[in-house]
Amino acid sequence: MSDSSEDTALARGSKGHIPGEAGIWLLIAGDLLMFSVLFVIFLVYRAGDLTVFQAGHARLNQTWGLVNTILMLSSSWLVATAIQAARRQMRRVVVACFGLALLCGLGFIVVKVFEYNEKIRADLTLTTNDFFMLYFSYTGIHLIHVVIGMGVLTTLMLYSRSGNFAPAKLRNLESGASFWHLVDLLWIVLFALLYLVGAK
Amino acid sequence: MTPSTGTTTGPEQYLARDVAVAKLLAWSGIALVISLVITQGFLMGFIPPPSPNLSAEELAQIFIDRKIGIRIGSLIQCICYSFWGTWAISIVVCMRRMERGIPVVTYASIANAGGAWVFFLLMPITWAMIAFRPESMDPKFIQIMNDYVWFIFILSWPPFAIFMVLIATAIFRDHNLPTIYPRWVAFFNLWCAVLITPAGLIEFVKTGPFAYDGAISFWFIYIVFFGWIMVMSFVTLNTLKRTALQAAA
Repeated sequence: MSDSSEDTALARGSKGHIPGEAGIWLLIAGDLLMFSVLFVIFLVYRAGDLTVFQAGHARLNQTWGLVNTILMLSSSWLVATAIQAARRQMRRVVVACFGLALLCGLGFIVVKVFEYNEKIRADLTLTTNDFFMLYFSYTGIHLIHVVIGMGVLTTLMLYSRSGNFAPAKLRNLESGASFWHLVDLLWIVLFALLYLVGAK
Repeated sequence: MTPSTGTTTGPEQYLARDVAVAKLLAWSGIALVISLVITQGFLMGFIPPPSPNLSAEELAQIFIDRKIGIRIGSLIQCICYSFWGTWAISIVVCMRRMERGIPVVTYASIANAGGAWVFFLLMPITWAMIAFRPESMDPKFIQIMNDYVWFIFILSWPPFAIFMVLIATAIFRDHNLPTIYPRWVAFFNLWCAVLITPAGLIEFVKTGPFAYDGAISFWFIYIVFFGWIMVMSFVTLNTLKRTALQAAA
């Protein structure tokens, strides 16, 4: 990560502070754009074949979904806490929070493995019907985001070990943290779309 | 060569000529995208691809009906798709100026760019082979070869994603002030790298958004990938123009 000249000029904590550098928001907006397309596709397919989608929806395990939602929200909170701690130069808290957030990410993947396993054992796969095709591909694409996000969190954790949170370093941390919040946000929408829409 | 005094052929003149060549290389990427629209779109009618759900006989008929267009199209493609290699080097030249010490990312990118055009060329070559004698070929065989083209095209996303990540890495490590490429370009490349990952799903489905003629696996990835080539071409041309101006000053 570079320490470009404007970093020092960037007054943090001032009114209207945008976390991270501007470029990361291009990435986040772009990714949200792709998921918006995915969500629209889901709703169009659902409207086209409501019975299959309701039947498929009924076979999802909301408990697994809820556990993963809690894991994602906790990890987001931990990452936000890490950034707050970095602003106060609390090096150990920063490293610990990033580490715990990483564990939440790992937990998310473990839950997903159990959930996929349960579905595949029940003979519900990518090719079963349109609902499960979208269920597996959307959660799969999200899972790739989780894996990339865990790579980012690992980098942030190692990067924080040396302390000395200067403005440039804080901004890099914020950029990485913003990406993890995106991963969390996408899951919240996916959870609502797949597990909750049409629940009775 | 005699050491110059800067009157006729000083280092800045050499640089200006190098920049001119590099600009030509950057333009070759734009030519690639234009040729794609003309050949695959108009001559072959393969934007979007024939559905993977078609029967072998229906698919064979498409190749029989369009064989002349496919032959001419694949001939043009063989030329223009080779521009991947030239185009990628216009970016790598800029990346080289971002690196100090051992140019690790530059080397990795050169190797990557040298391999990636093989995938590009395999597509028109295979199409040309199907259109060579489609009437006498077993439709089942045509089906396999046609699947092969689209699998080559879409499943080969990883080296291209790696190139995007390498570009982003070079920009993040850029020591120049101002940076050679604007920093948003790094994030743009990471975004594109993430966006083309769903391509892997074409292995599993024959209909829907993730089939190889689907809204995501075809349209979205196509637009992102070739849009990326266009954006990177213009950013590179801009950067090269600035380099020439700086050298002249």
